[in-house]
Parts: sequence; C-alpha cells; structure tokens
Amino acid sequence: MERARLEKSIKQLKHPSSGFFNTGFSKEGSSFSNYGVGSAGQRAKASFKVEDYDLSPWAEQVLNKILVSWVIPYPKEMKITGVVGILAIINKDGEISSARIVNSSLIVLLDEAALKALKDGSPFPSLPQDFPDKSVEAYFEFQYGD
Amino acid sequence: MAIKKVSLLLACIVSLDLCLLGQDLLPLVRDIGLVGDESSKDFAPPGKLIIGVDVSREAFYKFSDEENVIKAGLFKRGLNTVEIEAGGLFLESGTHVYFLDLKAGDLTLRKEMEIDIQLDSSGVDSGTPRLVKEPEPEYELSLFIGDKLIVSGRKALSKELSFNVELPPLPDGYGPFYEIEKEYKNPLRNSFSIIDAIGAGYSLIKNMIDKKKKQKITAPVQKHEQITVTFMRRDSEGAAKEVTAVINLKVRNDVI
Repeated sequence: MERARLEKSIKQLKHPSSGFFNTGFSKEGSSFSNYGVGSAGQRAKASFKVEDYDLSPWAEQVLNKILVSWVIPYPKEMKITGVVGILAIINKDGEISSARIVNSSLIVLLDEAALKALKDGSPFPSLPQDFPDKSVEAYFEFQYGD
Repeated sequence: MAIKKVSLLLACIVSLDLCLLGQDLLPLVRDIGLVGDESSKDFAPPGKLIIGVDVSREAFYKFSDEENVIKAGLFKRGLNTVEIEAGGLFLESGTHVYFLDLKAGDLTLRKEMEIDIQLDSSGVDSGTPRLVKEPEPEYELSLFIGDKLIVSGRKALSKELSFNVELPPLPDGYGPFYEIEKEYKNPLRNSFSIIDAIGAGYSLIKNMIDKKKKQKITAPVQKHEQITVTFMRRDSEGAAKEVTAVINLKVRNDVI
C-alpha cells in the first residue's frame, strides 16, 4: 500500500511544475530559487587552494553526520536511481550558511531527502582553527542506487 | 437335537477365538510409506528420509540395509517412523534395499523395501539466480571542495526506511501524562458491565470449543509411495544447478 503510494507520488513528481521546488535553504531562512540541472562542472571553485590545506579529518566527520541523517525516501526494492548535487557554504563554526541544489535528480523525493540530510546533519564540527578562510564552499553529491 | 446345537455353537466360538487370536498375534503392517511433503524444494539435498510404518499391534522391529542394522526397537500400535541417513543417497541415482523385521511373540515377519532415487539435473541452470543474492543498491555520498574529492562514504541500509505507524486516537481522559491515581479514583473506569462479562465469558468458552474441534480435524501424517525433492547442487565447474530427485518406495511381499 505504502509502496504503491510512493510509486504514484514519484510518477507525479518526476516532472514537477515550475516553481514547485524549494531547492535550497540558508541560515537566514531565505531559500534559493535558482534551480540547477547540470553536471559537477557547475561546482563553485573554493576561494583558496585546497591542495594547501588538509580538510580530510573534518570532512570525514561532516560526511558521517550527513550519512546518519540521510533517509532514503523509498523502499530499496523500488530501485530508483539518481544523483543530487548540493552546493553548500559552511561557516567556520560549522553552521551551514546556505545550501542549494545545483544538480537535480529530477525526482523531488530524492532532492528533498538529500537537502534534508544536509540540514539535519548540521551543525557540523567547526573548521580547524588555522583554516585560512571564514567559510568553505563544499559540493555534496548524493548518489541513490547503483 | 439340543446337544447338536450346543456343539455347533461351541465350534463356532472356538473357531472365532482362534481367528481373533491369529489376528492378534500377527504383527500386521497396515501401511508403509515415505513421510513428508509430496513435493518440496530446498537448497540442500535432504539429510534424512523418514519412513512411516503403521502397525496393527505392538512389535519389536529391526531395520537394516543389506549389511548393517540401522535401527531397532519397539513399534507401538499405530504409526511409527524410522529415519534413514540420506546424505549419501542423493549423490547419484540408484536403488537401495532395506529390510524391516518385525517380531511379536513367536511370529516374525520380514518386509523388503526398495528405495529408488532418480536424480535429474537436466543441465538446467535455472537454480543459479536463486542462489545469487541480488546486489543491494548503493547509496553513496561524496564531498568535494573545489574540484577535489575530499571524502566519500556509503550509507548503511539499516535505517533507510521510515514507516509511519498510525496509532488509534486515545480515549477521552487519556493524555500524555496519564495519571494512574486519578483513574483508580474514577469508578466509571474501574467497573464493568455484568452483561459484557457474560458475553465475554461465552465467547471465551466458544473459542475454546472451536479450538478443540479444530485440533481434532488436524490431518494425520501423510505417507506417500513417491515424493519429489528439488535441491541445489554445484557441478564440477562450480555452477549451481537445480536437481530433482524422485524417490519411490516399493515394499515387497512379506517373508515369514
């Protein structure tokens, strides 16, 4: 019953009407309307040289927090696939100042679940003290299935 | 005339007694069959075969193959079972002979049984997909900073489903901070209708009777002359194949 309902809602939502999406969020509460459907090439460049700084330990903690809060919004038997790319600006204190979908899966359920995972996983651990910038722009790629 | 009648009656009684005595003494085997589902599927060949022996009276038994005694003991009147280790029987098709010796008093009875197993794998690879577990979908998260992949990880599937359990509304007076003491003081909540109690008692008794009736209907152990077992086996190349084994039980005439 639940599965049928989900399948139906996915069919309905696969081609949503314009303006449906609330594709991002920001700390101030204003959501972003620019909805991107593109490749990873749309990722913004970080404002400092990543090679110079090792963010791996911090990034691992962030990733773990998001993975815990990431809820797959359909039963695994449904075998839905899709990739959601979210660009987020994370402040030095670990708070997300903004996040927006730059690469949609075209399935609202997946997009929303990815965005929710990011939101629920925050605040993240603070960036290292000696991190040279006030914030970091990170691109999160959520891959569903396969 | 009267003497003739009495002697005839006595003769009848004696012959009837002898007849009954004979029936009583014979450890009569009423039925022998394979116990189990007529057709079953499993991942491995059966480890044992169960033979059901229905006897009309108590008798000592000895169950043996052509060389060794497999089992011996006492059969009670009714259905008894004998288990045969069957691991080796399903390696190849063949006929296996067993003997069942029964002894009651001075009378002995021997039944010869043939268990014929015919395996058919037909070279069909149909079973393979059942053994191969379908790959689980992967849910992966990657974190890039700039163009560099910093870290990626996979989502464990144990918590991916969220079910909404709809609870029925609570009755009036029940809240999240349910106060037990208050409820005890409320006589309306601590009393019950006698009529309801009678109804409940009646339904309880009715259920019990129904249950007993159902228990009586329970089907007896099924015995079959032939059963079919399907199982999986790996061939010399390691590929899993479905094998169908047709097991026939033939009982030869009594040997006394």
